Amino acid sequence: MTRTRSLALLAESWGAPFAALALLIVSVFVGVMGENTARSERLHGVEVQADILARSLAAPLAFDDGATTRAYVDAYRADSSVLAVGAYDARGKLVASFTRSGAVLPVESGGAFVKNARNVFTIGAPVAEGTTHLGAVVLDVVADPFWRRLSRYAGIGIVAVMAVLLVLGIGWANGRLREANSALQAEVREREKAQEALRQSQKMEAMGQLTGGVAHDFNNLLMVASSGLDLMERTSDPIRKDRLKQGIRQAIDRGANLTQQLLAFARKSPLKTEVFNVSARLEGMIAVLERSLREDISVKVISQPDLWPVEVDPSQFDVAVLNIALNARDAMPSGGVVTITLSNVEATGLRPDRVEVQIADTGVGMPPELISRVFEPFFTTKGVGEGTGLGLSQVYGFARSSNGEVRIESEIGRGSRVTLSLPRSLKDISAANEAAPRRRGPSERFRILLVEDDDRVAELVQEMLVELGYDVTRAPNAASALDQLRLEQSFDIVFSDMVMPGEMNGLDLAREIMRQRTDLPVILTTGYSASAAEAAAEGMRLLVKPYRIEALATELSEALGAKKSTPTAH
Amino acid sequence: MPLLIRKALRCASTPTLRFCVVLAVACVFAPQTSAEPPPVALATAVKASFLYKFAPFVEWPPGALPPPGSPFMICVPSADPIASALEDAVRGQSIEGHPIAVRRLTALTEAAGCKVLFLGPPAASGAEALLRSVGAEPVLTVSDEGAPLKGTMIQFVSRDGHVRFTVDPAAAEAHHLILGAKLRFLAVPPRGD
Repeated sequence: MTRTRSLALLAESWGAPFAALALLIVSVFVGVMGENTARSERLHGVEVQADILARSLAAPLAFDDGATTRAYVDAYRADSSVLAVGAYDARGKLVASFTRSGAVLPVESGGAFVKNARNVFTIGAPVAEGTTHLGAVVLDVVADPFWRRLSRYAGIGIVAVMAVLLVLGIGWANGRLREANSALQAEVREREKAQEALRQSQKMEAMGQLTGGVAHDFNNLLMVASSGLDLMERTSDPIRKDRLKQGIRQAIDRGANLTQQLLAFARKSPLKTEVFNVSARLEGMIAVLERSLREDISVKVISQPDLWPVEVDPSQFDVAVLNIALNARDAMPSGGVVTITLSNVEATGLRPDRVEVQIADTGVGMPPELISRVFEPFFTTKGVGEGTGLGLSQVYGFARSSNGEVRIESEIGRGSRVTLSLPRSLKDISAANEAAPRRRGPSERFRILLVEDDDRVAELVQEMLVELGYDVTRAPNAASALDQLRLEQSFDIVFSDMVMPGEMNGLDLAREIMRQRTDLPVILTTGYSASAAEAAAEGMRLLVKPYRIEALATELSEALGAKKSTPTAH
Repeated sequence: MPLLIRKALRCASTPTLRFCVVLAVACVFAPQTSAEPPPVALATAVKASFLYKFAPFVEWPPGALPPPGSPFMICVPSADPIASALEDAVRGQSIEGHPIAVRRLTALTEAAGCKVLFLGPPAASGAEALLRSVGAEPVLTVSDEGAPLKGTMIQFVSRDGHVRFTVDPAAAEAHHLILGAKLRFLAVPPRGD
């Protein structure tokens, strides 16, 4: 492993010079081979030339025809590569010759011979007719003229040098690139570290803001509840007691709302989608909205007729609208108008048909650098305790989890406009709503198995269930619940906490029950968002803590109603 | 004369002393006054060297050449001065692997087995009889300078002080011999004489 790594490293750093060297060696080898081939071919050519001359001169030398011999010899003057030619008769007498300046006529030595010195071939060939010796010829021939060799190797030489330079260049560039890359990677690592540190500190800051805000809000709520209880103990006036009870109830509702918002922001809160008309929904909300805003702010709803229905979580929708409206309120310290415009928007490109909810205020507006940050969780322009920085984050989370989108436009001094865009639902509103009939309390006494490990919570819930007219049996954990179910077949419903000690948690229990008795409905409850998301993902019935007795009654009767309508019911 | 001396002098540098001796002799005995015709001794030496060199330029019919190991016979009249020059010239030479032998003819009957037959000058006594004695045998017949002797295939002539020769391919064909192209190329056309 390390050997191959080090080999790869070696190849990486020395690859280019090696390749260049190999290229150079190959081209030199090819050059030498070419040179040798060219020389041997040239030598062969010169030998053939000498042979032709020897054959041509057989008769002139035999019969002492000097003129013809000279004519043959002189013909070689035309070939510039021939330096000297000599023709000797049978007795070794020079009959005809020519030598170029600087050349020396080679000496005839009788038989055939080849000498090769300094790029000059010296060829001797005997002249004979049959076996009769008639003389000899000698030639001095340039093996290869310099210019011809130059032209032969210049091309390949240039190509080889260019290739070597190219390879070296590429290698150098690669090296540079590698260095730059490793530097970049180091830089990226550094930055990631720095960003991680920054994220951590931002998280801590956000945690501070959140806990500050939430603690403040909760303190206020607890204050209301605590003082309300104190006052209730001291009074016997039933009217006053009722008012105090209402105050406590409101404080608890607000606390529940706050945790709902946190869950929505974390997008862990299970969405319970419903098909509804936004316009109708808003009409019901107007009163709430106006109460949440100040007296100097009026709310106006403009809706186009035949508004398409949407399928989203209605309570999340309410919260989103409320959050936007609250932001509008805070942007209008000296009062103004909040205009909610509802309109259908036809599909464009990849975006389907959608319903747009536009909430505009006449407030102070925002600078562009704020607009880009308003959807960031925990981002707030308000002081500690005034806002959690989660309002518009909830809007963003809701829009994203509903397959919609949200955008904001604002201008300093001219107000802001938040547009919530939700996909159109093709389902029928009435049919969808009829699927969940609401019944308040059972007309007969149902047997319920309550699984809850916390004694105090169990006691309270048990009381609520008895109040709702149920026959309650409690099991402290999943294992005993299963034992109980095995002992008694008459339970109509199981209501179980999710986070419990023991090998099985609530979700495991629900799965086991569904496996054993498909007809026995199970409702899970938890205040823990991760568990809630898990249960919702599996399609379990879920009641999120804290819940009110009405919600409990509705959930139970819905579950029992569904059970009754199931054909396999006993 | 200056040509002769030059030749002789140049000879001194070459290793073939034998030829130089011939040249030197020629120089000594040559008449100093005229360049044409060539000195008899030199011309004879040249003719002797030509005489054995004709054979390789001739196509011999199958079976015409002597059996392996036997000499290739060149016959000359015994009285002719060429005989001794020829004997010098052929020493160490061969034709198609056969050593060359010179036979001096004293009688017509001795012409049997000759492959090249030198007849001497046409005017010489017995030349014609010698030519006739060959019949249609594949024998290369050569005659010396002078009036042409009908039926000889090659005849020495003198041109510009040089020894040259004329050829008669038809006569050669009559004896089943073909005079090679190289030979014919170097031959001079016969003069009216």
